[in-house]
Amino acid sequence: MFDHTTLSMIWFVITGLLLLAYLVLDGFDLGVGILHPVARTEEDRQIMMNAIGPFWNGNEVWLVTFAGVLFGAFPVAYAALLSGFYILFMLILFCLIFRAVSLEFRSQVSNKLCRFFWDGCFWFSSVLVTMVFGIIIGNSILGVPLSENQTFMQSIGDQLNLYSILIGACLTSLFALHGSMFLFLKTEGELKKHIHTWTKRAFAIFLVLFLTTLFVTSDIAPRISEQVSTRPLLWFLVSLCGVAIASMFVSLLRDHPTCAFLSSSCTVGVISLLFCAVMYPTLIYSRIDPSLDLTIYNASSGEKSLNIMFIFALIGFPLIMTYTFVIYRVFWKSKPNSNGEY
Amino acid sequence: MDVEILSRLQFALTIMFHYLFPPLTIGLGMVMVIIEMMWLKSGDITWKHAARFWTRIFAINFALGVATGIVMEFEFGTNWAAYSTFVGDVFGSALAAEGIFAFFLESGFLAVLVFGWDRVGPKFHCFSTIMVFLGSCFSAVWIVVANSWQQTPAGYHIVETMVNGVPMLRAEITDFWDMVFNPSSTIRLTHTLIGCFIMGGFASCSVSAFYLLKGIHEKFAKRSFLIGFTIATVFSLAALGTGHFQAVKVATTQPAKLAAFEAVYETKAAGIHLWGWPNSETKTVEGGVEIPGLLSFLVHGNTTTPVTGLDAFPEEDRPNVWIPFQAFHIMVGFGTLFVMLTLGTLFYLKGSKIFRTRWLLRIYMFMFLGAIITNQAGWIAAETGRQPWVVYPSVQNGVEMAGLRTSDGLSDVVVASQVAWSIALFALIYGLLFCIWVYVIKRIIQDGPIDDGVAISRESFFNPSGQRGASKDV
Repeated sequence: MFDHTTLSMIWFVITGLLLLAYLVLDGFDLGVGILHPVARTEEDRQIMMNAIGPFWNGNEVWLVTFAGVLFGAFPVAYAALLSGFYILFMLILFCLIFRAVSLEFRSQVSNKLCRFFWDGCFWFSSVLVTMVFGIIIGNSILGVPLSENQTFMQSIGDQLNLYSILIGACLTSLFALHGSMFLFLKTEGELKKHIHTWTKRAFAIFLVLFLTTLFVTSDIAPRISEQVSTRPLLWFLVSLCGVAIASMFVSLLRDHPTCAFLSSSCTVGVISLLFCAVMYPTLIYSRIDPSLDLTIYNASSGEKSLNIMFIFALIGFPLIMTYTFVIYRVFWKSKPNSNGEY
Repeated sequence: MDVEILSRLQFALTIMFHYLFPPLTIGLGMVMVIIEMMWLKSGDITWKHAARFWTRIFAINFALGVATGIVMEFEFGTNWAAYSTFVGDVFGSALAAEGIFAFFLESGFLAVLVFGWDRVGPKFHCFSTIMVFLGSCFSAVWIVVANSWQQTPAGYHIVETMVNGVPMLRAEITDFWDMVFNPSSTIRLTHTLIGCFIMGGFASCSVSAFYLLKGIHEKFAKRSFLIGFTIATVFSLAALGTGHFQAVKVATTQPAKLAAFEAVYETKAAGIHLWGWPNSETKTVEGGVEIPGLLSFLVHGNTTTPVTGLDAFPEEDRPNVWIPFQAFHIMVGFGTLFVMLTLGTLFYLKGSKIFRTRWLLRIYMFMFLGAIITNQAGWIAAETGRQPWVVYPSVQNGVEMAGLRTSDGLSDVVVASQVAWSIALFALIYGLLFCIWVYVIKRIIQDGPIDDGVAISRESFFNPSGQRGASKDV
């Protein structure tokens, strides 16, 4: 159907869109987890957990599909990334499971101290998983010591560098903001006002961290700053990002929760597109030698396999869109209350 | 311990834990589809309550299936990087297909099932149940196809690609349908799905038997029992058939595996052991009872035709014998027990005698555990019997294709200490998860199906039982 080069690009786009979908969707429920300590009363905490109740499990399915597609389309990069970031990926797995465990246990116990403990676990795992995602993204932008075996070995100390932690913090504030927008949409009365003050704080923190990140990135990663001058698309995305952030600000001022949530979704979406655009066509930068980079061309599967998967995608994704839309319509309107599930 | 043993141990631990959930969702999916259809057809509210009850059990299993499933997917990359690179073209595309076709279907419609009782009509609800069931079956299709390809690879060739000037071997698809319908995939998929259905059937029987013994929720229990029992009876018999044909297939495609199943150390006419203790030092089976010639008869239709033994393979190509032998015999033993039990129970169906036969109900109460053990044992036998290969060597169009040894599939950048601590943490967290699973299921069963007039105010994946009786006070 298509040649290998075109297919590699198509699959890069699909993989990128899946990442986007995952970050936008799981972003808000991770964000609600990050904001968890903000709730003042037991009732508020329950409302917040119930708000994400019907969604979080389905949102994680996007991560499964993203990973599956990355494996199928770019196996060499998949192998290098996951083995190279072994400890970080294990942390993600533990946190995701632990998060589910704490969500459950907290509603099963009535002892205050126990609840406090599980609340802490829920918050901690939500923050940590977001931080680690950010750290992985940060290291991908910086590049890793990729050798000619198409793998890299890097100590965890080197992976926890300042830049990556900055990206982690930036992602955490972004998700907190996104989560607060979701709560802003889903809550009423006192709690909504309270969330509103935290939305403003999250907004301020995010703005500072994001601008710092933009500024530092062009400075710290020379191979990225090269691209900035040659690729107008990057500037377009950055300005699009600015528009989304501005629209979020305006919707907040005008107290328009739906617009605010859509704007924060767009912000998350555009930022993930920005990340993909910065990387393209590289999947993993090699710090040792640029000729050792794993790109979408040399790390991808064979032409035949990519073609077949493309046919799957053509059949599958319209179906997914259709029923996801139908199902979201059934549930979107409802407001959570404290005698829901958690 | 070296990184290979640790990585295999970690994979075994996580996959065995993961495999508690998918077969249960597939099997219960079938039970739920039948119940919802009965509800739609008769309009009897008891069916609705039954569907609601099973949905709650289904939901927790699905949630745990997703949580533990992500681990499996990531482990291919984290612990088995060389393997991922080698098979990505084939295995990765099957995994991607699973994500695209199965998971969204299942998770999307599950939300309707769990949260949609008052928001969608019965017809749409029934449709959603069918979609969830189909979704769970689809995921089995792709993952079993991918696994079967490793056992009996087909429709591929091994190419040496140059990545940044370094040669790299990997398997690439040449014929997609040959890859999907490789020699063992149909029979293995059928056998796997049947195993799942048996699990669902017996799960239904177990819970119903518990209620019947306690004398509560009898209307619900009798119906659920009969549905579960019918499924268990039909598919236990079917499993006997597919199991036989699968063994015949293994004899030609993976003779070393079959030899390990029955501890055939030398190539000769072989029998089947009822039980035993294979000793690879002395190359004998100790303390066993053997039916002579039966294996030769089942495989070749003749009691005297020799069966390929382990001596036909070089030392380094032989699997361990003890584990596949025991796992295989546990599976066959339980499978036979299922057939005898269900067929025997048929005599108690007349006049609903079964519901008054307490000893039989007591046996059924524990059959769920039997089904778990059987499913696990079957997979242990299949996967340990495949060793030392992770991808079996094969012959394609007269050309010999190299296989991939498990020891060559590891991540070369991961060290033993990293794997050791991740195993420890997995053990801890999975221990917690297991407690939750047992606790939640126990609570759902204790709460039971809703009797008329008592509404449930809370439902979710994890706290599905809710506050019962709250509406009574109002």
